[in-house]
Amino acid sequence: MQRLSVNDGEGIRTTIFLKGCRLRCRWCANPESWRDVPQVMFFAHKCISCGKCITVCPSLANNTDSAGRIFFHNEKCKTCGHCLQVCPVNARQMMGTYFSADEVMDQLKKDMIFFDESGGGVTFSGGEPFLHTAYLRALIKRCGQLGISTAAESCGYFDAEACKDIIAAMDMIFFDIKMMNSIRHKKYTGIGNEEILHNIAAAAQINDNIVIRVPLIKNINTDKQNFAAMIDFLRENSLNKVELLPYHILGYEKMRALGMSPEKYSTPVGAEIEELEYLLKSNDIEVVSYK
Amino acid sequence: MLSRRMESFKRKYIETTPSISSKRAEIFTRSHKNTEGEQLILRRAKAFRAVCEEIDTPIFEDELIIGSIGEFRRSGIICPEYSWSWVEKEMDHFSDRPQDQYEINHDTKTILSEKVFPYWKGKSLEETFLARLDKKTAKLLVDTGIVDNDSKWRSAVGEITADYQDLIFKKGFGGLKKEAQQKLDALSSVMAEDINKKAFYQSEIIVCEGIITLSRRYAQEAARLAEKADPARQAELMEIAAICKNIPEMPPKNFKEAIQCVWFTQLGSILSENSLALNLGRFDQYMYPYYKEDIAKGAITRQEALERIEALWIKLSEWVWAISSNTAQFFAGYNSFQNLTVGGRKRDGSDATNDISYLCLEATSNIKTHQPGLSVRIHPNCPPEFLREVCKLVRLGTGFPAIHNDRAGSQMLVAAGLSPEDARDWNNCGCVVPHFRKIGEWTSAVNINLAAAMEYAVNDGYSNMTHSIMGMKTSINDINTYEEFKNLFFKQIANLIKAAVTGSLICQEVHREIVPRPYMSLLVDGCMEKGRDLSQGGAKYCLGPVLTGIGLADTANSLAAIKQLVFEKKLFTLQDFAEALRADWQGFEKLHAAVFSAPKYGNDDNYVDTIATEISDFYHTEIHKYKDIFDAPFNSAFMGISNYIPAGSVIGATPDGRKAGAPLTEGVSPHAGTDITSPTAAMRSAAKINHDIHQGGTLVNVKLSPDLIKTDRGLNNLAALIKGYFALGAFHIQFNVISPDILYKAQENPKDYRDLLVRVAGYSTQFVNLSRKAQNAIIERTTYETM
Repeated sequence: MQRLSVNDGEGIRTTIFLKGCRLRCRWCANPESWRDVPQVMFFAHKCISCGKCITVCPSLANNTDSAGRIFFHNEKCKTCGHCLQVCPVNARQMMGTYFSADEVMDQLKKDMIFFDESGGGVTFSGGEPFLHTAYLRALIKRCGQLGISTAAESCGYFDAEACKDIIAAMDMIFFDIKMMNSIRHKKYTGIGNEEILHNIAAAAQINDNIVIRVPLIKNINTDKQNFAAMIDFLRENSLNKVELLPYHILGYEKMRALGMSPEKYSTPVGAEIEELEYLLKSNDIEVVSYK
Repeated sequence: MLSRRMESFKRKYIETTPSISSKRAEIFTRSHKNTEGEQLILRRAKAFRAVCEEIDTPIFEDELIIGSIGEFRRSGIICPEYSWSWVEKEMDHFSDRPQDQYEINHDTKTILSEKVFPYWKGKSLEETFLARLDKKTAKLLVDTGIVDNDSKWRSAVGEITADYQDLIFKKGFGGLKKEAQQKLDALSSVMAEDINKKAFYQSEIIVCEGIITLSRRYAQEAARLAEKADPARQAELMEIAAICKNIPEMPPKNFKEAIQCVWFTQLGSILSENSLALNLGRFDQYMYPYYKEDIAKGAITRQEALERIEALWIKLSEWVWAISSNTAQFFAGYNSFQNLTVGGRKRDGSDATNDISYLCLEATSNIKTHQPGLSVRIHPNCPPEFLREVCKLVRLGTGFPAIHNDRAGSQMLVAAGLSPEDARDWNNCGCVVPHFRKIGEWTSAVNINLAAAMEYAVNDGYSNMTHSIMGMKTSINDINTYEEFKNLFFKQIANLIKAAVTGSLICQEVHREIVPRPYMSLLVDGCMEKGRDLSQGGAKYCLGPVLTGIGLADTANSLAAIKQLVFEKKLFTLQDFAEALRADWQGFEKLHAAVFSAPKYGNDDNYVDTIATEISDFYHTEIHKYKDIFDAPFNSAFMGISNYIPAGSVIGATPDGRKAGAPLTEGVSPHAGTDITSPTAAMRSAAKINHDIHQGGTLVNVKLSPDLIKTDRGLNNLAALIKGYFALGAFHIQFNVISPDILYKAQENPKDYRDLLVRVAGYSTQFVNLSRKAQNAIIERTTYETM
């Protein structure tokens, strides 16, 4: 849960990150939200190898390597949180807490005055927020009753038919399109894009405030061919707003902290981005920014 | 953008180290030697007039607004009648002390030690006050940092807002002099109470003569310099000479005269008592009529007016308040707290924003001087364009302006007894005190170290720093419930408040007796009518002295930790805490870690936020019980100055996990690094405090990452943050928008960052002028980053 979010929609927002996603994008900025359970992140660069975590861990998830450095076995961790309590340098962080709908609403209500002044509200992000269909439906309904504006950030991979009412009720939705070629999509995210594109097309029928987000990863999806195909898709579905999000490396450290082996990608340069923006604009697609 | 002229002008100011001038002290002292036996108010008036007749009248290259308190481009003066012993003790180290250095030459030192100090021995305010202070109060009050009112007996009071609207611009000092003469003529010599009034009116006439003479001498000097100047400068100097002939004797006729008149009035205040918080009040309100007329006539352009305002900003920044090394810790950065307020509502409640309001924001944004302390009043109906310009200035990262809730300020003053119209006409005093130009009040009378009360509560009255009894002798062994412990802490606070009140009453008496303020009494409405000096309760409104609490967040966090760990979870005992504090947490890592995880003020967590509210409410109620020598109740405040740093250095570890000697927290801000939820959470916590009862002001400092507001959308969000925060009822907010990286760089290469302004707490100053300790405290403040 993050208060004073300013890049996830209009105004000042509280962003609720709902854990769990079926995509495994290699460049993901929020890998801690792939699994729908709490997880411990371990930041090795902060660790001073004092060994306190070893002595308190009931699951034996910590040991030292030959150099005396702490090694954390994420797969053994049962997220009891004992190591967080004793770590003197805050090298560990628990990602994910269970909140009831009531608890979430209590948090949202706190910043309502700032939502009102700024035209902000709540953004459900992830992970993939639409995976938590019943929970999300309950929250959206209650936000509607209180006049809290709602938005979602979605990867598009969920049961859209079951979420129809939620999609229609949202004030705004961001959908990601990573790339148009399904084979490459499968290569980089683990899943083909057919259902995603189908869902976005269906959502466009019932919600007229949709922004398509494209992460820009150099040499992966910044080619003209990909963009031409995407423009065709957008025009077919009367989608006319796109936000381009150049790749950043913040997910890299997090993946390492989660015990994964991340790959490094790079960010396209300014001129490349401008070219893509021009391409979109010349096809009557507005390039928006929530920076 | 600065014009080239102002750019070079500013550079000269920045590159000059302040120097001590002995002129004022020497002339003032000589006059006093010649007036022995006369009434003190007359002696002080005559001494002021002598200063005006004799001090140097330097006009520096390219100056548009003229007048200086000493012969140097940046001068500091000594007022020995208040305190001189610190100067004698410290003057050899003025140039190499850690905070606020001054140059002082050999001749100056000789004059001071031979001609000035010997005369004042035994006569100064400091010596008189200390002689009257009882031993018990003195133990807490004198140079301890526990209950500190040294600014009220080592220096003059200051803390007034000159009344340009109804007095100076309306009557001129010539008119005021005439009025005093008429009042004097109407007095009878056979009525006892008229004897004092007679001396008062005579004194008013004398100080009017003084300031008028000073201005005429400047007019002559300008004319003299004009003879030798190149044609362009010659025209300027001739114009300056003409201006100085008219004002401040006569009311100003146009914008240029008005702004020079403001500086001469200010100059008189500084020469008369060299004090802090000589506020300029609602500058945009009293300057606008002249501006409007001149613009309409074509007598001045917007750019010329802006340049004059920038020149005034330099004048306000040039002079330095010469203070002891101890005081410099509290008021770091050569700061003189000349507050200037723009925006807000008019007396009838309608919006008051005008072109001058915008020009002031522009001048501060262009010239980036640490003075004036620019404050804005924001109300729900204020033009969105104005709020946007305010946000743009915030984004520059100079810490300016201080942003105030218009309505909260009025409420505070209505509660203090002002009429609704007067309360709507408020301005800021010093840093964040809601004030009005017809008020006489010690707006920063005493600093009370609340965290010390916490230390004494846990430690049975003992200080872990001095290892002696400093608080009330109590015992934690008698404590069985949280309520009992809280009350014990409150008892310790009440004890400190009592010392503060005692000290203030004695101090007020001494001021009334030996340091009347004839010049200041001209500037504040009521004195002329009553025939009574400001120090005797002459002002239209007399408000009680303000006692500032330091360490609200620290003590709220301490109580929350004790409540949770001792009385709810029962994991530790009060005795564990006492031992841990004595050991400065060494060997108590487990307790320290547990305290670290306890609720912290500034995260919108009611568990601890209600405790902070309770402490601040108690503090107010306890203070408000006492009345000052004019029968006005004492007032509470939570405004930091830079006082939270020295206040922390004199107390041991506290139960919130803070280590011995570490800084406390300013105002009602969260403690550095503990407000980890979001700026909105920190603001909501702070807004839970009942701001309206603390007439002495409340202060919140929020550090924002520049990323949050770098775009136009960001500016709108910042405006929304301000409006939302004020809708919650809070009084003041200040944003520091500087990345820690820049501050680290400034520490490494201070030369390259000489104009880097930062918010210390309630005011801005050059970062490189702060001590390393103060710099580190600034850097440590939480920087909010959103990913």
